[in-house]
Amino acid sequence: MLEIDRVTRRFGDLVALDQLSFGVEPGQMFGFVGSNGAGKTTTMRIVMGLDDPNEGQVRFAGAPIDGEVRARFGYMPEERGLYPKTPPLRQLTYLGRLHRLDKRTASERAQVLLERFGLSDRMHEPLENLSLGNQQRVQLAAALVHEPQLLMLDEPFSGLDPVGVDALTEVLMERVDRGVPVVFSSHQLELVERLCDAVAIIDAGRLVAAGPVEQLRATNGRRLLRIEVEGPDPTGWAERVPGLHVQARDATGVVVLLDEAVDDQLVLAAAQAAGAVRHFAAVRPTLAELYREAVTNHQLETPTGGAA
Amino acid sequence: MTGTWLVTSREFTERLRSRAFLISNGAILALIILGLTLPMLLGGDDAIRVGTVGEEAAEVGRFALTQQAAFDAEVELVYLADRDAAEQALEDGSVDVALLDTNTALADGTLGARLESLLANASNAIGVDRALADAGLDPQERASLFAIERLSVEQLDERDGIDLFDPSVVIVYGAVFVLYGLLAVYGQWVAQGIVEEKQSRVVEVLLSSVRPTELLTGKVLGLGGLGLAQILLLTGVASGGLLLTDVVEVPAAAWTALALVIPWYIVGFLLYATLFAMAGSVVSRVEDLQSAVMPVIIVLVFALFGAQFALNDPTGTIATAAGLIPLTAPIVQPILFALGVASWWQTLLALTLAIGAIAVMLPISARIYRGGVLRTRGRVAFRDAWGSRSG
Repeated sequence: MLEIDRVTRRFGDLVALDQLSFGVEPGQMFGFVGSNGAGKTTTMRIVMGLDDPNEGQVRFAGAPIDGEVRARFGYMPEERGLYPKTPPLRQLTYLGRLHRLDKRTASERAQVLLERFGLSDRMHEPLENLSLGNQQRVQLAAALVHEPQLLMLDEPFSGLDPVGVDALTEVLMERVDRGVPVVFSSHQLELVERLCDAVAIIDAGRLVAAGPVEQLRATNGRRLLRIEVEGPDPTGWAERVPGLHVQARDATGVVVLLDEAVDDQLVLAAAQAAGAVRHFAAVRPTLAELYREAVTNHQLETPTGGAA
Repeated sequence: MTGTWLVTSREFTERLRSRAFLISNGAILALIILGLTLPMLLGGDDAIRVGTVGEEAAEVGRFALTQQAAFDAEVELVYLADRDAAEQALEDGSVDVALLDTNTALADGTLGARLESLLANASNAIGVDRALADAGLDPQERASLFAIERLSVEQLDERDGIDLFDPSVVIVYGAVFVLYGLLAVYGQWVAQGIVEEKQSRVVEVLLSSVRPTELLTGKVLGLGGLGLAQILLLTGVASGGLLLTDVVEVPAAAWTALALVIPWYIVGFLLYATLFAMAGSVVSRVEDLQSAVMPVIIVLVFALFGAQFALNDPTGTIATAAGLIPLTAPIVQPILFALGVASWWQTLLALTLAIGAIAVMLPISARIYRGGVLRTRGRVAFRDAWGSRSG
């Protein structure tokens, strides 16, 4: 539905985005992950028409994005911004109208959203009088007021307390259930892993990995096993099996990394020889582990690195 | 188009809502109304009451009545019984001066040059008239002798004849001063609005739904429209006041000159707005705005100096040039027109030149704006803003 197609963006000599390509499907909660300066914000700004790529194209529903299509996107910029002196209701109504809603619909939707975020009693006060958390809620409402067909949220969870995170999650899930693709960037990898159907990991402007999290795990290639053996030597046996590397050990068992050529059935046989096997299962790498590994490998391949 | 209109109406109403705006406008209106009504309240009926005792004095008084316009005075006659009544009337202030006979006037304090010469002239005329009657001339012949026109003075050099206190010049200078103020204030609001949107980062949200050109156009039209409403209101109230109160008599030419201030405001605002918009586009914080708009303000102040210069030497080369150069014309040309030294074709030429300048500046300003508006960090070099992006 949203396609980033070989997008390159240079700032002088600096390559901020280098042939970046990935796609987001309808109704997908899509996490955009990368270190500071990896190019997440630049990518989002290009999608929102706030910056132009030097090469490549962004498409929505198969067509290049023009102003009318973009007006139906919802955007929450990295640096929050609304009119400080304008009360939330008037502010949201105005932004809704800029996004092609008529006055009454804009005002009604703004009121519904503000009520939803518990701001009904503050909606006529200047925005700057609200707490930062509440201002962030208004900012999110600004991205939602026109019922967008795509949501682009740059670090929407930063600065929110756990209750705020849950409330935001709920609101985003509703949109996803209606088939709206939601793209958000975040440093909180546990959160991304919990929420997202798919992710894109970028480093120094280049795509490192993209796709559903399960698929990334499957193609990760690392085979980690946790094995618990009841016997005289619950951990020592593993060190004697060739091609097996002990990653961690505790009183009841070990976590081992298998070399590529090693047959896991032979490992099981070795474990059974050491005692009664109580636990034998693959350890699923967390997104954080996948991310670290992918980025480390990527940086080994491209020692020059990058920025922006 | 819809985007432009929405931005326009927001800019218009947000300023209109601000308390400071309403208070300052209320204050200006109150000053205008006060300025127009105060002379009436204080001056009231400013006719000079001349008392006369006896038929001889009454004859002098009646002659003075016929001559009052020529002496730019307003006289009322009060007939008094005798000298005692005259003294009484002077003391209680019911007359300002009392004529006792052809050659004697009784006063309490000085009379003022105009009244004294009016009365002296009347007394003299009646004396001469009586002498002529004694010499045998009939009333008709005598009357024709007094119908001679009063001396009028012509100036050697045309410009020395310009009366700086001529009501039309005073009115237009006032209007031009207001025009200068509006250009400076509303122009700075354009720049300030741009920077505020950059500083608060709201511009990123706005530009995901409207084009930069729409945002800039809407801002200029909204603020310019508010300024137009303000100048229409101010000149309207002032004109209405002048018509109703006749504090001063306004010649027809002054009305034309005053009406010309409106197109000059429109043209001047659009031209200066392009400059102010560029200044606002290259800075990121309101704190830095003052230094960025300074060059524009200086040009505007120069234009006001030009108007001053035009008052002193309206036919000089500098005044003529300042009346045609697009950046100074909005302030200088209306003055030249009010002084009567600029003809219609000069005004039209100046307007055309200014509109041409707007046509040149508009795309330049829009390009700088597009290039600078999303650079929300630090100060942007004009060169970078210019070459930034095509969209």
